[in-house]
Amino acid sequence: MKRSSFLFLPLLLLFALPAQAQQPEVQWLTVFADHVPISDQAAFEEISLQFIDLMSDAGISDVSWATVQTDLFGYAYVMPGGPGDLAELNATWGAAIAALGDPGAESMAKGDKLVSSRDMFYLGLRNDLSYMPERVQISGELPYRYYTQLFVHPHKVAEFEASLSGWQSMYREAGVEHGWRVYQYMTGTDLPAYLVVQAAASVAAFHTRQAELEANVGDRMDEMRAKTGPTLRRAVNSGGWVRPDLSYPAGN
Amino acid sequence: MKRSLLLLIPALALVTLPCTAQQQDIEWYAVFAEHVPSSNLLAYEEAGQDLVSIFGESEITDVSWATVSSFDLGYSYVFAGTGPADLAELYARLGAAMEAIGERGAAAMKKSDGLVESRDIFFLTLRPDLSYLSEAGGFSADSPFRINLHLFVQPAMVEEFETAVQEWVEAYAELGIEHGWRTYQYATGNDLPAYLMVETAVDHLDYYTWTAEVEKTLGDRGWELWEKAMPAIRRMDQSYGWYREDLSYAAPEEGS
Repeated sequence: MKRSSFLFLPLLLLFALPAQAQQPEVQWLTVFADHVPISDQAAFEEISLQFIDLMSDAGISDVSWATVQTDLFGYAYVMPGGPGDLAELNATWGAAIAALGDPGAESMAKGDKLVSSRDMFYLGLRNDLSYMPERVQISGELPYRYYTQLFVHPHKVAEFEASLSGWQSMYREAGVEHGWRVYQYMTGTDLPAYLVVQAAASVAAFHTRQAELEANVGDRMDEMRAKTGPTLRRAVNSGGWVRPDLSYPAGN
Repeated sequence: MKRSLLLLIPALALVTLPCTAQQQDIEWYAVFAEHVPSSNLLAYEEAGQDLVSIFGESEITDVSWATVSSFDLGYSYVFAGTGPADLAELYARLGAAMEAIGERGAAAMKKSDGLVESRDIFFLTLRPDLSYLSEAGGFSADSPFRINLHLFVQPAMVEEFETAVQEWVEAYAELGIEHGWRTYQYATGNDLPAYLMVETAVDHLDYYTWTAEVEKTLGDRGWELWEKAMPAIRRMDQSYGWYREDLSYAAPEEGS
């Protein structure tokens, strides 16, 4: 049914209103991910570091990405921009690769042999569904990422999104100082799906603060879980790390 | 490695060529797919047919789609000529169409929404250079049966794979085989690099009848070609589907 097109336009649920007026502002991200067998990861990272050195040495300044390593996504290369920016991204990359010449091509060919498969998808940052999203930057200061993938029933998207405002209120009222970002999967399989991202200095730091939160507002969290839970098909938690060393410019 | 960017960009295989020159002729397809539990299929199709009727009665002129149903891919709604850069415009056109069809359309969509389990959105590009008599893989009520072959390729062997497919094309042409296929490349999605080869026929019997003839014509050469392609392939899935004219919508020409 054609409704699928609309459910992926966030909040485009009220047909009586003009479509343009209902779309929240979405900040698009383009994600390319490489899945590498554990046995090949050390070699893969070494080649990636060499590739980044080549980029730096060639003075490539119009390409940048942030790398996050996770069990879920493999090595995910995150770039700002959405589908409308793909042609420009291709052109910029093509020029960069051409500038690297044979050493760049050789480095990529070596890395290629270690990759088992790849993903490419678009995410939309939903600030309207997030809490203090500015505190969840992709940065080396808070490198640990805690991911919660939420797979929503297609006909319960409105209820799901509405329930997140309750979570926002609860965090605000409790004075919680760490935030979360909600990304919506704009392309991919098994949609509608959202990715909730939290950042911390370490795994221990994340779970310490989660335990404190549960101790302080656990009852309210249970109430919110009871509201959000029925809108979900499935939820998957996992962890990851921002990798400044594999980002470009290095340390990005 | 950043090669991922390049491998996922169709036709951007030769980085020494200007990228813009290589992208001009790409034929994009946006695919929205819905997975529906078997228990809901009849009700879902009824709602889908209602929606197509409403679009027709409302004379929506700027949106068209072709629908294919299959067990593994669900109901795929294919928007030809729509690439990533066209997505915002497609959404705007669909938004305008939704306003035009009003309450009745909204009710039909709401009904079907409750029957859907999950959805997919992805982009394909047609690869004419890897296709043979590619009109055969189009959407036609005369040949509604579709055989989908998903080929998951080794990331490091994309070039070898494509070369092998081109040899298939050459062999078919030399032997004058009259049955063709379309090769699409997945531009977005999981488990890439991946390609979708589509053949069409009247039905199962028709397909397996002419496939046997083609195999006979190819003889040992067919096996030799497979042996060349196989090392580049990680996994292969085959599935069947049907072009669903009753669930497709072709916008009437304006003024007609």
